[in-house]
Amino acid sequence: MSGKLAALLARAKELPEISESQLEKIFLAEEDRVDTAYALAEILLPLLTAQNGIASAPGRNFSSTRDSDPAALAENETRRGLDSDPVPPAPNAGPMLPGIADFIDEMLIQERGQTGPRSDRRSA
Amino acid sequence: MPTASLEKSSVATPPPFGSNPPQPINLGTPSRENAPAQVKSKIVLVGFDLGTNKSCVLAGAPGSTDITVSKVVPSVVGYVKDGIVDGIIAGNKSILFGEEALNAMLHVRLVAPLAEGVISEPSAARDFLQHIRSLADPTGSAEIRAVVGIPSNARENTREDIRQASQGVFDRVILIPEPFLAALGYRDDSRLNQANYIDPVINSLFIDIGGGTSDLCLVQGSFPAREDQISIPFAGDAIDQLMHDELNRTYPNNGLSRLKVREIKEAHGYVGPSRKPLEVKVIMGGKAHTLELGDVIGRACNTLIDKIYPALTTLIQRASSDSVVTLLQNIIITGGGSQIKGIDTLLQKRLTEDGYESPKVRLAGQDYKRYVAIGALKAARAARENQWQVLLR
Repeated sequence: MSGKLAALLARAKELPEISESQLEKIFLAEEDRVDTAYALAEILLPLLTAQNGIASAPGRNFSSTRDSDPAALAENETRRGLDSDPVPPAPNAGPMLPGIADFIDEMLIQERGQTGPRSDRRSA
Repeated sequence: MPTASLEKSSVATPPPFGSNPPQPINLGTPSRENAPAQVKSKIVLVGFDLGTNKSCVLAGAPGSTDITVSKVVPSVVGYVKDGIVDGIIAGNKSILFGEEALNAMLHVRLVAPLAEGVISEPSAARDFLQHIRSLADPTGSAEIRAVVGIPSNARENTREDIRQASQGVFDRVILIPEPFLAALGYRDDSRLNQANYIDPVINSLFIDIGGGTSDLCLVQGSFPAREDQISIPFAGDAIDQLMHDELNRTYPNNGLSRLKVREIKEAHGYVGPSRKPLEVKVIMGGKAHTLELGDVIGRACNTLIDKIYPALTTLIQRASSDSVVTLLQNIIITGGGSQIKGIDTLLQKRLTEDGYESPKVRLAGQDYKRYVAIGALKAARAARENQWQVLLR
């Protein structure tokens, strides 16, 4: 969001009909909105993670990612993208109990090792 | 090896979220070939302990911790005999299950679907599972995903028998060894963050004594390998048989049924030194008799200890020196056999006498009939989409 804002500002500066003061106003308004969003996220994150039993991911400190430098913002956007789970939870995931799914994985791997590949079964 | 009747999930390549649901492949019944997949909007998760004598079913919705169904059902099917007059059997049913079947034993042919922990009567097993399904989903319209407990180190044909019986009853299954499920069920999730709580899934030894098998399992933070599990085909039923045989020798033509002998064991079973007098009132030939059964019961139940103890020490010796001291504090007995009086103290005494460091053997407690099913429902709720085995309809 902030990366896009910086790009828009750069483009807007090239347009003669928008004055510097107008640009300043837009910039300040958008800054306020972003600040509010970060503050809200900082309050809500611990509440939501505690409620859903999810460990708070390191590096999700929103105040530390707050940076007006477009390069830093872009980097943070990329990092956030890498942090996110590539596979969304299954519909029956519910309150995930840590480790149980991993145990099942281990069991299935053991079973496959014992029975060997079977042509009459295929992936779900 | 029997023909597989299902497709199995692949652990290595989870399907992307939002991809089409897996399409069952037909491997067996030609009449179901090309049957359109039924679309079901509601999913019910089931934790199921399919026991030789008693089964336990728990059910709940995904995304919730609520348990909507919790029942313990004797694993027995009663087929109503021919010629029974209308109205004798409630609703004129042709098949009864569990307590209802036992209560109508005069009018039904009782069939136990399992023997020694494995399916011995496939048709009755299928009927029984259909009944379990109706308990979990009375509407009959939901997609049922069941985690089913199986004996430790169950062979592939045992697993396949369960899958075959589940086909058309459950939509998806995962089969997991019972003592591991018992450890999951026994785990108090609300105490996992407490420093003094020993998580049974991290380091424990479970002894699950059922009707058909006694299963021992070393649980040490990873899924137990085959060598961490021992299943002994000696449990409640075998004790009943020993008692029945001895009673028949001592009191010929006593007329006591196996069910009656089981009742006597459940009321008076003990291990350790002979407990006499242990007088039990029984009805033989319509007359009340008081029998001294202290030795009969003690000998039969102590045989269980003789079978279990070597397996217990074998598994203890498999634990690393770093973990064994804590492990010895966390030996837990569950299943119906945990109700045999003195079983915890006798095993602990034997371990102490053999020089094991401060062993502590505990009983799982009053929920002993449900721990496997509780663990199974936990597993169902935590299972990833690609871990379910899809069964044919």
